[in-house]
Amino acid sequence: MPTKRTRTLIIAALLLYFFANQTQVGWLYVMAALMLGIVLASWLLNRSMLTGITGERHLSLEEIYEGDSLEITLNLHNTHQTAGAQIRTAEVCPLADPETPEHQIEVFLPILPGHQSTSMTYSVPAYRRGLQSFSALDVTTQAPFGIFRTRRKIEITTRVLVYPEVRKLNRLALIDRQPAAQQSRPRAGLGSEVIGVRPFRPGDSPRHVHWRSVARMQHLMSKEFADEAHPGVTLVLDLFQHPYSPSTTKHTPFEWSIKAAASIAEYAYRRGYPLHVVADSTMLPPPPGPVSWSGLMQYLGRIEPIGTQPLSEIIPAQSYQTYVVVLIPWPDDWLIEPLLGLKYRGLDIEAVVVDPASFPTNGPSAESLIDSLVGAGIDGTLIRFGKDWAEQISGTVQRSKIAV
Amino acid sequence: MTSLIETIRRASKQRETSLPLRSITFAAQAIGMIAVAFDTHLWLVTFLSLVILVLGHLNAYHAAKTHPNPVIQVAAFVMLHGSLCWMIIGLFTTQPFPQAQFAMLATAIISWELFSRLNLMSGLGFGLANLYVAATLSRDLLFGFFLILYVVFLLAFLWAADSEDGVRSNPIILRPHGLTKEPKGYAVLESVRVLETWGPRFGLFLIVATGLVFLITPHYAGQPLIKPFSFRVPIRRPPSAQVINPAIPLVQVEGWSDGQSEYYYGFASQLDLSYRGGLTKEIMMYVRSSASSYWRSQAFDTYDGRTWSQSRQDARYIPYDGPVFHLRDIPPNSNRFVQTFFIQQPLPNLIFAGGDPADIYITANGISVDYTGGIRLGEPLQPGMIYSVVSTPQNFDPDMLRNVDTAYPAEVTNLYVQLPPTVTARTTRLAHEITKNAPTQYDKVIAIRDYLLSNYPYDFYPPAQPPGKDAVDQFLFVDKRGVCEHFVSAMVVMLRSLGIPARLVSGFGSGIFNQITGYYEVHANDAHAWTEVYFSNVGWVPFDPTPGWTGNPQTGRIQRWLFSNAFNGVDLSGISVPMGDVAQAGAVLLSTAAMPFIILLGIALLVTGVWWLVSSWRIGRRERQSRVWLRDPARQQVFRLYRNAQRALRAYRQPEQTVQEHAALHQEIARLASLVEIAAYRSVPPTIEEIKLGTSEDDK
Repeated sequence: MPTKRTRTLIIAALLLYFFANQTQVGWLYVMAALMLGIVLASWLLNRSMLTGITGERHLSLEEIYEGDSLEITLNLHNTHQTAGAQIRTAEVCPLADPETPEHQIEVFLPILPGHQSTSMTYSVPAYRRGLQSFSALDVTTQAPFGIFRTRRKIEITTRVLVYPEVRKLNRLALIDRQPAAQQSRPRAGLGSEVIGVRPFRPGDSPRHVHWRSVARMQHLMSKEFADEAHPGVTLVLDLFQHPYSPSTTKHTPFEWSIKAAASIAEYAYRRGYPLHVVADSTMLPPPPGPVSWSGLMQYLGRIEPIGTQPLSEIIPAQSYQTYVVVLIPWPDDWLIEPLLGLKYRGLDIEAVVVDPASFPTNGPSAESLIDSLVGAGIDGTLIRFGKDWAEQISGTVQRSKIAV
Repeated sequence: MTSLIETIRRASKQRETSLPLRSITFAAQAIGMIAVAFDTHLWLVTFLSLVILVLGHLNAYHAAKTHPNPVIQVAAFVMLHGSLCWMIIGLFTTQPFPQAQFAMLATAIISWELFSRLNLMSGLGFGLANLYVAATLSRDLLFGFFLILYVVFLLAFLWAADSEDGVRSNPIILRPHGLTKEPKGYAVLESVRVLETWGPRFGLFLIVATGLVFLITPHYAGQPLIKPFSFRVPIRRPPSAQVINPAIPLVQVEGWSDGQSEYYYGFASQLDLSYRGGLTKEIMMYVRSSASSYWRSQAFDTYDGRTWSQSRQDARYIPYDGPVFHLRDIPPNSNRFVQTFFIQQPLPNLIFAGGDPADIYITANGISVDYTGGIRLGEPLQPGMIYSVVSTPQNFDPDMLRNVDTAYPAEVTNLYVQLPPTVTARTTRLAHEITKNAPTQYDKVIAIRDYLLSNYPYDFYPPAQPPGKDAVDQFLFVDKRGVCEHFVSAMVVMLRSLGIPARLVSGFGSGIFNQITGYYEVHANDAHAWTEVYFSNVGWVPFDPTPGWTGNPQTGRIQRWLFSNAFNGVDLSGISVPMGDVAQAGAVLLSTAAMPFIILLGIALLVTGVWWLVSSWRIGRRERQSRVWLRDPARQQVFRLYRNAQRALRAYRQPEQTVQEHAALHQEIARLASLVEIAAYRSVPPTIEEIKLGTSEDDK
C-alpha cells in the first residue's frame, strides 16, 4: 500500500520530467527516473519484507484459572535470508482485561536479521474464564524508507481455556448439616434412586430382584440404589439465554453463578462428595457424572448462556444426587414448582440465587424469588455484587424457613 | 482546507530534536550547494552559504529544544528578501549565475527556521532544488556523483525518521536474540546489518528500475517555456570579413600542422588541402539540440587545384536590434529546432549552426552573413559564451530530388561549377564512368558519393601533397586515401565536371550525444568538411562522402530514449503508422495540453497560498484573543490560587486530568475547582464575591 511519501516522490518525478522536457537537460531525466526508481525498488523490497516471519506463543501455565497470573512468551522468527526491518505489531491478549494496557501491547522490531529470532515475555492476569483465542498477529512494516506499507497476518494458533475462579468456601450449609458420608453399604434398598443392577447378595431384599436381568443372566440380579450414606452433589446450572445486558466484564450475574458453582464443587470434592451436573445439553452436553475435577472445570470454562431451554423445563426430567445445588443467575418464578418437585422427591436442595439488580449491568431483582423459595421451604442464598460471593455462600446469612 | 492548515500547523509545531536527522538534512543541502559550485565556480558564495547553513542548523537545533528567537526570525526574513533582490539585480548586471546564487543563499537562510520534522523535509526539498540548478548547468558525468550522494542522504533520512518514530511510539522495542543488553552504537550496528542484507539488493533494483524508466520514458523537447538565450560578455566589434581562428599557430609550416591541436584549417579564409595532422579530443563545445545535425560554419566555392577559398568578400550585415538576430522568416507550420551552444574552448568568429538557421540569439552588436550562408562575428568565440540558434530542419526526400529540373540559376553556375585547369581529364572521365548509369542528378550525386565511400579509405596522415599536382587527382589516382577534405574535394570536382553545382562546407560533425546529460559533446577532432550540392527549386543539399561519417548529414532524430525510432512503420489497414512518431505525438499532446493545466496549477497555488495566509492569520488571531482573554486579572488570580493549592497539597493535576477529575480525588479543593472552571471557560470573568466564595480558609 503506498504512503504519502509515494505520492511525494511521484509528484517530484513528474515535475522533474516536465522540466526535463522543457529544458532538454539529460540529468533531469535521470533525476526523474531516479525518483521513480526509488519508488519501484522500494515496492519490490517491501513486498518481501515480512514473508519469512513466523511466530509461536508459549504460556507458562497448563491449567489457568480466572485471576491467575501467567507469563506469555511470543517468539518471532525470520526464516528467510533477508532481514526484516521496522516491523510493528500489536500483541492482543484476550486473557487480559480489555481496559488494561496488557490487552494490547504495541511492539516495534527495528531489525530481525535473516534466520534469527526474538521474543517478548509479558505477564498478564487471566481476566475472565472462557475459551480464549488469540487473533492472528497483525504485522506491518513500511521498510524500506516508508514509501510502501505491507501488512501480513501471522496465524499463531493459541487457544486457552480459562477455568472459572474458585474460592475456598468455609462451609456449605447444605452439606454440612447432613451427616458425613459413611462407608458404602453392601445392601441394596436404601436410597430412592436406582442407579443400576448387580448380582444378588445375601441380605438383599427379595422385593428388589430385577427379574428381567435374571432371565437374561440366568442368575439372581438385584436393583442397586443410591446409597444415602454416600451421597453425591448435583449442580444444576441455568444456561438459558436470559435478557442479560451485553458485557465483556467478568462481573455479570451469569459469571458469578459459574464462579459459585465452581467453588461449591470444590467444597464438595474436598469433602469427598461425587459431583454431577445438570444443565441444558443443547449446546454443550454436561459431562456424565460423576464428574472429574478437570472435566468439570473444562465444562464450566466453556459454557455460555446460550441455551434454548428454560431451566424450569429441564429440572423435572433429570436424575439427581442426594444434594442438589441450583445456581440461578436470573430470577425466574417458574423455577419454584420444579424445585418443589425435587424437594418432594426427598432431595436436599439449596438455591444459590444471584441478584442481577445489584450488578453494574443491571437487571431484575431476585429478592422476590428468594423469598418465594424460602417461603416454599427451599433453602436459598442471595448473592449480591459488591461483596465477596464466597463469603455470601458460606456465610451465616442464609435464608431458610424456620420450622415452626 | 482549514483542517489541512491545522494539520500542517500541528506538524510544524512538533519540534524535531533528533540530531541524526538534522545532520543528514544538512549534508543533503550541502551536497546540492557543492554541486552547483562545481559547475558555476561560485566558490565564495558557496562557502558563505555553507557557513550560514551550519550556523542555521545549529540555531534551529537549539531553538527546537527551547524557543525560536524572534530577532533571528526577523533577520532571516530580511536576509531572504535581500538575497532575492540580489538575484534580480544580478539578472540585469553581469553577475554570474544569479539564480544559482539565490538558490544557495535561500537554502542557507531558511535553515535557521527548520524546527520541525516537516521543516527538515522541506529542507531536503531545497537541497533537491539546488541539485536541479546544478543539473541544468552540468555538462559532464561528475554531477552523477553528487546525485548519488543526495539520494543516499535522502534515503538515510527516511530510514532514520521511521526508526525514530518506531522507537518513540511503541512501548516495547525488541532486539534479535543474542543482544541482551543494548551495546553502545547498536544503532550503527543495526544500520550496518541492514546495509549488508539489503544494500546490494536495493542498489540493484534501483539501478535496473532507474535505467528502465530512463530508457522507456519519451524524451521530447516539447514547447519550451524559456526562450533561447545567450549569456556572457557581448561581442562589441563589428563582424569581420576574415575568419579569425584563435587556434592558428604563430608559425605555420606549409603542409603541416600541429600533431595534436585544436587548429582546424577548415576554419580559415582558405582551406589548404596540403595540410596534414590530427586534432585533439578536447571538447570544444557542448550543444543542446532537439535534433541531430552537423554544425555548419561556412562554405568555399573556388578551387585552384590545392586550396579552397571564397571568391566574394561581401556579406550581409545585421545589426543588433533586440534579443534576436533574424536571418529569415520561417514559413508557417514549418518544423523548427533550437540548438544552444556552450563554448568550452576558443573558437573562430564563426557561428556554428545546424539545419537552416533563421534566428540567432547572441549578445553581439552585429553579425554578418556571407553569400554561402556562413555567419560571422567580430571576435572569436570565447569559453563560457552561450548562444542559441533556431533553425528549420534539413530533410530532403530522394524521390523529390530525383524529379528536380537541372536548369540552374546563373548566380549558382557562375560560382559553383567552376573548375581550375589543374583538374585532369582522368578525373572527369572517372566522374562520367561512375555516373553513366545514373539517370538523374540525384542518382549521379549518390553514385559518386558511394564510389568514394567504397573505394577510398580514410587516413589521418596521407602522403604529403607534391607541389604542382592537382590535389584531387593525387587523391583519386595516386594516394587513394586521405582525410575528409580530400573526399569532399574529389566529390565536388567530379560533380562540377558533370555540370552539377557543388561546394565544400566546413564545420563540426554532430559530436557524441551523451544520453545522460543530454548534450552533444563536440570535440576538436569532430571538425569536418562535407559537400553541398545545388538542386533547382530546392537549394543546397548536404552529402558526406567521407568513410566513417554519416553519408546523409541531414537533420535527424536523436535516439533519446529506447523507442525513439522504434516501429517506424506499422501497417494498420494499409496506413503506415510510425509508432515512434505516435509516442512523440503523445508527448507533444501531453506537453501542449499540460500547459493550461500548468497555468491553472500556478493560479491554484497562488490562491491556496493567499487562502493559507488568511486562514493562518485568522487562526492566529483567535489564539491571540484567547491569550488576551486569559490575561484578565481576576482569572489570573484564580489560576494562581489553584496552583498554590496544588502545591500545598502536593497533588498536581496531571495533563490528562480535568480539573473536576482532579478535585474528585482531592475534596479539599472541590470548590476552588469549580471556580477555576468559571475562570477558564466563562466569558465573564469571576467576580470578587465568587472568588471569595470559592476560596475558604481550608483552601487558603
